[in-house]
Amino acid sequence: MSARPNRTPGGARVSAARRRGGSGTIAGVAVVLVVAAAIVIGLVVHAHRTDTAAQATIPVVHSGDAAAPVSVDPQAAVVTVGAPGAPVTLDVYEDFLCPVCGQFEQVYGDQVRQAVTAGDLDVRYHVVDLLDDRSDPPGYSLAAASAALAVAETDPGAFTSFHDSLYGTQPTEGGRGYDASQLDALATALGVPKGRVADALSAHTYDAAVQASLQKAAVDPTLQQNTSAGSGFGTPTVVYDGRLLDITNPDWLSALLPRH
Amino acid sequence: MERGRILDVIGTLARLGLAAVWLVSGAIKALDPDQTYIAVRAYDVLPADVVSVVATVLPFLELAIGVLLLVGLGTRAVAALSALVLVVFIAGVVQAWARGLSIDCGCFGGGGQVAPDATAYGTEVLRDLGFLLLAGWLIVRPRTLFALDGRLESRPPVRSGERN
Repeated sequence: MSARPNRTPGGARVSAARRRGGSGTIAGVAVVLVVAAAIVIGLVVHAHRTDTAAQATIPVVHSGDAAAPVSVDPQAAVVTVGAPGAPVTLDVYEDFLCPVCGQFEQVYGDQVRQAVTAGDLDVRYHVVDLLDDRSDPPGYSLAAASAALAVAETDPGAFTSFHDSLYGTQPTEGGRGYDASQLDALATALGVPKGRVADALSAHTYDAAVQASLQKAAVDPTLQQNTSAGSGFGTPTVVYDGRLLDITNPDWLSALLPRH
Repeated sequence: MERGRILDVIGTLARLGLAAVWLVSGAIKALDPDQTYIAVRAYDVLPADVVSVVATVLPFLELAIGVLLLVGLGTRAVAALSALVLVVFIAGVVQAWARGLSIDCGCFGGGGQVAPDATAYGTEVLRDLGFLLLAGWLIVRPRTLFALDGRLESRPPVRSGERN
């Protein structure tokens, strides 16, 4: 028995189906609206995320050893910081997107800089693009490494500050990373002629060298260790005299340096 | 009558359970969009710019499904949508498994590459199949207690000759 008007004559079944169709339609419209709203919110969040990251200026960090000699081997994608012939030479493999590299720099950066300034240490920075697919869009690791090489070649004195600035306000893994114009603006703020970094990035001047450096490191037996993604090459990796250093030991650096 | 009541209670538990699953997984993903991007990217299926959109929209879709199930609105349709999304998730995990990728599914946060001996594809698929079972129940028998669907119907909740 229905209280509603029944447009189709007879048929209780038709009437029930119609009524059910009515409430079903209201629910259906509500479901479509809620799901559509969720998708729109997602798209707005997506656009906002990209925009805010694109407008950010990378804060400049002036490195403590900005006066130390810097030389670059663009073919090997290696930048050496420190006076030639220092008693200790380290090979440091870093990816500008790698969070553990960021922590390494936060914790030990100053000690390394001081030792370099004192003439006790040379650091050979291998800038690799291990986490190339971990930025959105992919490619920040490669761009940052290439930009660092471009800076080192154009204005060697600006390299350590460029390096420290990128770790000082490091983009998050899975985030957008800095684009060519942001990297170029940072380099310009450190005295590199405007456009040099952007040109090097658009010409892919250092891409092959950075990628080759990573491939070489990935198969180098001395560089293998246990990483979060299993055994293999990871960043940061610090090598002294052909052996990996355990940088979880807080005294790893002071143990190597000569006592004054 | 008594049997119908028991089935209603089972359905209600399935609905609220599935709602909790979506609300928790959606909230974790929405709060850490960078991690969600890494998780979606690790499946290595979609092009990078599509990954970016999927990773930001998916958490809100999960939350919407969760809210709709919680209030019991359009239960059958939302359960069907749940099932569809779960089938996509299972397909994603199975293809990663079959291709020998070493990833965490990122189902409830986390995600991305893991050590080869740290994968849990079997558990992940079984868990999703369990959720699929809940969705399946609600597709077959969407009638539950404390649902807006019940209020939208003009007739008293217990009907004779009701098929569901």
